[in-house]
Amino acid sequence: MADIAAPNEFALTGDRRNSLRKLMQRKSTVAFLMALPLIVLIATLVIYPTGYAIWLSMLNKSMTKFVGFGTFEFLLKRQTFWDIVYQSCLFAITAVIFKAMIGFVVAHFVHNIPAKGQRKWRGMLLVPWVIPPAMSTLAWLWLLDPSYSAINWILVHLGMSNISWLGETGWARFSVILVNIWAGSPFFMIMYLAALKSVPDQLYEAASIDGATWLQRIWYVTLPMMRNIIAVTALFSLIVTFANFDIVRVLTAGGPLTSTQLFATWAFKVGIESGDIPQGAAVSLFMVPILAVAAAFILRDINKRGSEV
Amino acid sequence: MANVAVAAGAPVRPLHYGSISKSRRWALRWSYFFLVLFCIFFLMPPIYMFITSIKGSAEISAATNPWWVFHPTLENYAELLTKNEYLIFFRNSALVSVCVVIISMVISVTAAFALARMKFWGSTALATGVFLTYLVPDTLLFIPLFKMFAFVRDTTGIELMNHWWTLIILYPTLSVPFCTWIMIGYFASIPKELDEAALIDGASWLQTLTKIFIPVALPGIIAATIFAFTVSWAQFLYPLAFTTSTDQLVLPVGIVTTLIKGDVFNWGQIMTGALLGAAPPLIIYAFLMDYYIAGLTAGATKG
Amino acid sequence: MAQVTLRNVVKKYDEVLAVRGVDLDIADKEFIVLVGPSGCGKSTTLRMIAGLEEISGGDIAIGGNVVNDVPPKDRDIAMVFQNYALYPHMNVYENMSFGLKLKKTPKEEIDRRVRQAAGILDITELLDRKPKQLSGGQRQRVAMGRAIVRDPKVFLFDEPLSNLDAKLRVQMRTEIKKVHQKVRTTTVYVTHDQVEAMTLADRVVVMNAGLIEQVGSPNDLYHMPATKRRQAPYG
Repeated sequence: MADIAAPNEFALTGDRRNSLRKLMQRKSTVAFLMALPLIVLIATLVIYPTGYAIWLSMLNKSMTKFVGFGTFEFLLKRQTFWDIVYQSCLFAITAVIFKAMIGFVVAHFVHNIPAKGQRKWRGMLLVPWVIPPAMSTLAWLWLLDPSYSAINWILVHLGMSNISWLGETGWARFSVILVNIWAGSPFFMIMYLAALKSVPDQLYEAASIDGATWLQRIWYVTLPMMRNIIAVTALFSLIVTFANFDIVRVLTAGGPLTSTQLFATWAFKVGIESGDIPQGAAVSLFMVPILAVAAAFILRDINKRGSEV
Repeated sequence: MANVAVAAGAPVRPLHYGSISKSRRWALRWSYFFLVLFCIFFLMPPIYMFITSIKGSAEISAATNPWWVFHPTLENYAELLTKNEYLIFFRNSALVSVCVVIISMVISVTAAFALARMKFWGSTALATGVFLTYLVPDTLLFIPLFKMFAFVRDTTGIELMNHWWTLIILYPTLSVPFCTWIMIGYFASIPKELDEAALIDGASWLQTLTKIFIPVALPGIIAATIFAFTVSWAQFLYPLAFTTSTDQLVLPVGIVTTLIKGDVFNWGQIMTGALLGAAPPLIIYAFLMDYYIAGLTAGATKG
Repeated sequence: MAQVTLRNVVKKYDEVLAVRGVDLDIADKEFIVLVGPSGCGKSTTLRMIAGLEEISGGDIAIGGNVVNDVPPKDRDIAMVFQNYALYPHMNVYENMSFGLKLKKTPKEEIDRRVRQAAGILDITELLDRKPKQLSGGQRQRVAMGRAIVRDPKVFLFDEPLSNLDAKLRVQMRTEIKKVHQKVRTTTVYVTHDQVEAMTLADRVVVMNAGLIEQVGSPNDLYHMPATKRRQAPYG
């Protein structure tokens, strides 16, 4: 057994427990300080404005007195407002569905070709996502111009008639959704491509041996394995698409009349252009419930994925 | 010795490889076919932007084939680049984006390091909070911010409206959450033993961050930087709401508002302006495509 | 003098006692091995000596000075990790010289020490390579080189050979023993492999459930195991 050493061999270090605690404190204070700019940034420019928006929405137009939910009631009674709700939902849901489908399909094609060539195809296909939305929407504005539309030119040459892409309600809504799909599909494609690559080949081989056609392989192997990423990407895009501003603003400015207004563009028009801040705040706050629900689903799915692995 | 006798003239069994490669070949052909179609769809607008940019205004308003350039000219580029306004837009955008990138990266990297490595009270809540912040859209915040700026003006006399540098304060809210999220993922994947080795080697926290973590997580840093730059460069709503005089505008807003004078759209210049405006992100993308994509997928898959 | 003394060392994680009062005297230049099943507290004890874990109770002294509150870099120790923990973005030379660079040691001194350590471990040709270009055995040697360069009072090994295949393990065992004979630094070595313990150690410390069960030379342990369980592997 070890000899017990004489106690005076040790130099006394004073109150050991206290200095230990100080050491711990130091590390977590340093950590806290490092995270402080982030916290300050988020607190002042995200959390506070959100709360402030709620407060603002409850004031009257000249912001002199408190009217509680008056503005919200007012909005809920206006037909224009319900139009906007309908338009925003139509826009977001249709766009996301198509973006997801196109992204899924294109990802498969890219995945099918030999690995060497994938990089350059992937590179070309991602371009819409890289171009700033305001710029690319200008390009579409030009492409769909009432008098000079290059697309109409093609249609006319094929024997069809001019389409008033931005002048007619139906077509205007179509155009706005189209531009969003154009700009957003590449994102889905990239995410799905990454997910496709992570599905083990052996599963497909086993399915082939079991006799599955390519369609069945997609249904029974690919989709279930990708279920999580499909859900997360879709929800994420739903949030971003729902709050979209750039495309509508540049393409139609909400027109014709108000048929392509979304929450964001209407809030801008009412809040900043017409100067009715409380109403603008109220309109943009209507996005919150939907965003919150989508965000909750995303968080749950991300955590679920963590535990699946 | 094998005693397999092969009768002369016996029919030879056809090899089966042919049928497999045939269906594979057809799958490839269809794949390329559709890929070309989609490429046309995706690349058509930027290509058309370019085509228009090299046309003179006479040709644009003529009724000729819009998809072909009969008399290519650089007059649009010349006019745009010599007109003071456009260069000012470019300068403002560049200044704002560079500053925002620096600020964002400093905040994100330090915060991510603290959140990924140093556990402190509330660190998990903060990490989730950061992610949630990313989901709060700018379209929700611009109205209260509008009022907040007025308030700051009334109380401190600092005019935040209509100054391009105000954007430097605002844009980080858009880039920092996601950049932090990316960096947390990259930092978390560095094995803990590396920290301990550095600790034994005598590195302070700051030295561990700068000499070990940042070099090892460099791909993540590049990806996050690219993301921060692209987001700042493309921002439209905040500058539209908060800057009005021509010399304070950034590129996206500048092009949209100044080149569209009333009912007269100078499309040649608009397209040139838009193309040049889209150029920086495109150039970065062309050279650093892999980091670009890594940044995208990092956010979602690294959870 | 580089003796290590542990006096009633305790480690508590929340309510769980991982190390329940360990007393140990390690003599200068001794090669001591802590051995025991997973969860017995041997790694935790090692990490407390290194300063990577806070000591919940008791004292640890290196070279006669109590080091409870001393940060790892000031304890004059060097550690070889199970997963080598080599900096992936630095080559072998830079990996080995990192600690000295932080201490602002002059370049000629650094070069001398790195080359000397590389010579002992036979890795001089590898100095330019990055860790990912090295095999497991080579990486292990670089990790040891990093430790030797620091010229510490104590070497700490945390199951360094567990990631190697059986044949390489035997080879590396002899390397480690040879290095110890050349460099003569006090060594504390943790392993769960009893054969490793018996071949390497001057003295073996058998741990179980946070306590020391038995301490003695390999010979003593072989002939007089303290518990029945110790008897079984030795027949």
